[in-house]
Amino acid sequence: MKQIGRGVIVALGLVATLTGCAMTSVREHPDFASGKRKIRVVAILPAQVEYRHLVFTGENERDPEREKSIASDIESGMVAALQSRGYTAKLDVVDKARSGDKEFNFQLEQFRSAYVQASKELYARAMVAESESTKFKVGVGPSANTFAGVAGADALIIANYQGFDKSSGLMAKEITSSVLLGALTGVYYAPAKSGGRIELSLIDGVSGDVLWSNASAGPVSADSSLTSAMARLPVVPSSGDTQVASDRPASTEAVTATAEAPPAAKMPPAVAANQAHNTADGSSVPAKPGQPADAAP
Amino acid sequence: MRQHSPPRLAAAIVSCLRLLSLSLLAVSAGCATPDIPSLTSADAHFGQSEEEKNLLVRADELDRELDSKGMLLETPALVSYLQSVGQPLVPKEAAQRVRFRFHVLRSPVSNAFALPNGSIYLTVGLLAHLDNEAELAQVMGHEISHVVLRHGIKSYETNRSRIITAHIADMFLFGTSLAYLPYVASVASFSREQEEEADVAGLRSVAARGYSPDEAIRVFERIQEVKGGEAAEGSWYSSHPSNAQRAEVLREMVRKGEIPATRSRGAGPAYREYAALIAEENIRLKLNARQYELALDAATRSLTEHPDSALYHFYKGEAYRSMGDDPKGAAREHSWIYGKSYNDALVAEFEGRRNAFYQSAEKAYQQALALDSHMLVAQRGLGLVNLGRGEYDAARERLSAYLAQNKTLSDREYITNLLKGINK
Repeated sequence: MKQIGRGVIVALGLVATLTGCAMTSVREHPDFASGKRKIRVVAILPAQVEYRHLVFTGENERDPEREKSIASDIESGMVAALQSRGYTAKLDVVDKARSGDKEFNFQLEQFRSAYVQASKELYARAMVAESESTKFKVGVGPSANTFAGVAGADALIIANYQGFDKSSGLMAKEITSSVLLGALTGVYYAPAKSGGRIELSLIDGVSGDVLWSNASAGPVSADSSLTSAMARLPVVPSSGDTQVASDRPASTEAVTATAEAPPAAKMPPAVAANQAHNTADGSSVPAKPGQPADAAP
Repeated sequence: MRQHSPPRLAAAIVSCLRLLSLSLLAVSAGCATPDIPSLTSADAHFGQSEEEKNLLVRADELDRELDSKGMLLETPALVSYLQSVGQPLVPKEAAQRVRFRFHVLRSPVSNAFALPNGSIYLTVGLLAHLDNEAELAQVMGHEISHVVLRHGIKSYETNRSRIITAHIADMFLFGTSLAYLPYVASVASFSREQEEEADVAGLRSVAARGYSPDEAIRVFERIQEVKGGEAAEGSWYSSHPSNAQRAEVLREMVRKGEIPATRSRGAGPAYREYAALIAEENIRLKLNARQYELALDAATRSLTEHPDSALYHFYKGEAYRSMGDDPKGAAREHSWIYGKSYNDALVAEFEGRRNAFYQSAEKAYQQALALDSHMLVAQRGLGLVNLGRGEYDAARERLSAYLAQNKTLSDREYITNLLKGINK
C-alpha cells in the first residue's frame, strides 16, 4: 500500500511538473507581480470576523466577544507579518473606526461591500494555475483613497474571516454518523471540531486595484490560517527601515510577531465603508465600483 | 476499503429506508407550532422564558451593531415621519410591553424585517419602490404584526425542534444531510401561514387608522416589480409564490366587508417629500454594490417623475459607464437578477456591448450637463467614458479640467493617478 501511495504521489508530481499546472491560492495584479507597483506603507483595516458556535439545537449563535478577540488577534498578526516582510504597518484606520465615527464606519462598510463584489471575481475558483495567478485585474475604485489618506499609506490590507466551533453534543452526533457510515461502507471521516477560512487582500491606496490576495481554510485557528495566508505575501525587495506606525502612543503601537493581542474587551466590533465621496459641487457622488483596473491605460 | 456482498448491501439499503421513514416521521413531528399568546393577550408573559430573553438579547445586539456601523439613515425628519406613521399602528397593549422603533437601513436590497424587541427595519431599496404613505403603512403594519403575534419566538421554537429531530434523522442517514432538506426551506423565513397572518393583521391596523385598503394593498404590486435578485432571501414577500395572489386574498376580505374600506387617507403627498432622498441613496448604494442595471432602473424610474433632474441623468450615466468599465460585473449582476448561469458566453455578450454602454453613458452625462452646466461630476463622467474608449487626449482634457475646477475633491488622487497613466 505504501509503495502504491508513493508511486501515485511521484507520478502526480511528475505530471504536474511536466505539464506546468501547479495550482495556487494566491492572486496578484500583473503590476504588483512584475514589481512595477511598489508598496511600502500598508494601512490595516479592521478585520471582519464572523464566528459561530454550532450547537445541537441549531441555535448557531455568533459569539461577539470571540469575534472581537479574533479580530484583534488578526490585526496584530497582520502587523507582525507585514513588519517581518519589510513593510511599515499602520493602524490609524482601525483606531478611527473604533472611535465611534458612524459616517466613517459607514464608508468602511461600503468599501467592504465593494470588496465583496471584487472578491467574487477573485475567488470564482478556489485554486488557480500558477501561470494564471498574476493576471488578476480587479479593483474596488477610488474609495481606497479615503482610507489610505487617513493613514498616509500606499496600500490597504483587508482581512475577512469566517470560523466556527462545534459543541460536544454536535460532535458526538457527527462522530456517531461517521461510525455508522463506516460500519456500513468501510469509509470513515473525521469531523472537524473547529475551523475557518481567512481571505486577505492588499489593495492599492490610489487606484483601488487588488494587488495581492490569498485565502487559507481548514480545521485550524484563525492565527494559523493568517500565518499560512500571509506567508505568501512578497517581501519588500529593497532594504529600508520598517516599523509599525500609528498615531497611538508608543507603548501601544509596538506590536510584534510575539506580542500579545490587546484585551478583547477593549476592542469594539469589527466595522466596515462608503464609496460615496464629496465633489466640487458639494453633492455626494457614487464611487466607481465598476472602475476596473484595466480601465486605466 | 471493504467490499460488501450484494445481499448485505441490499439489507443495508432496506435498513436505511426504514430509518429514513422513521427520521422523516420524527422531523414532521418536530414541526408543531408552539402555542404562544400574542402581545395583546393578558397572559402574554413576554420576555419571561429563557429562549425569549435570549432572542431579545440577540435583537439588541443586532440593533447596536447596525447603529455602530452607520447603517441607519438618520435624517431626523425622515426618522420622525416613520415614527409618526408606524407608532399609531401598534396595538395599545403591545405598545405597553414593547418599545417599537422604526429604522431605515442603508441597504440596496429590497427588504423589511422585524426584531422581537420591536425594532422594525425598512431598507432604502424597499422604500424606493413605494409610492405613498398607505403602502408604507401596510409594510409597517405587516412587520409590527410579526412582533405583536410573536412570530419570532414561535419560529425559534419550531425551528429548534425541527433541527433536533433533523439531527436525529441525519445521524441515521449517516451525515448525508438529507434530513435537513425540509428544514432548510422552513428556517430561512417565517412560515407562509405567519406571513399571511401578518398580512391580514397589518391591513386591519392600517384600515383602522383610516388608510385606504385599496391603496395599501397596491404595495404587493410594487413588490411584484422587484426584480428576482433584488429581493432579499427570506424577505417578507419573497417567501410567497405570488404577490398578486396575496393581494387578491386581502381584496376579497375587503369585498366581504371583513376589513372596512370606507376611508381614503394615504395617497397624499407626505411620503413623496422623502422620495428624492430615498431615491438618491438607493441609486448610490446600488452602484456601490455593482448593481448597475438596478441602479439604472432606479434612475430611469426617478426620471419619469422628474425628467429635468440633472442628478438622475448623471446617475443614469454612471450606471451605463460602470457597465462599460466593468462588463464582468454587469454580467454577474444580470445572472443574479434573472437566475441565469454566469459563464464566459454571458461575459462575452456584455463585453460586446461596451461601446453601446459608453454611448448611452455619454448621452446621459450630456443631458445632465445640458440641465446643469456646472455639474463637475458629469464632466468627470465624460472624461472616464473617453478613457474607457481609449480616447486619451479627450480624457486628459476633461479630467484635467475636472481637477482644475476644485481643489478639495476626495477623488483627486485617484483621478490624478489616471492622468499619470494617460501621460505615460
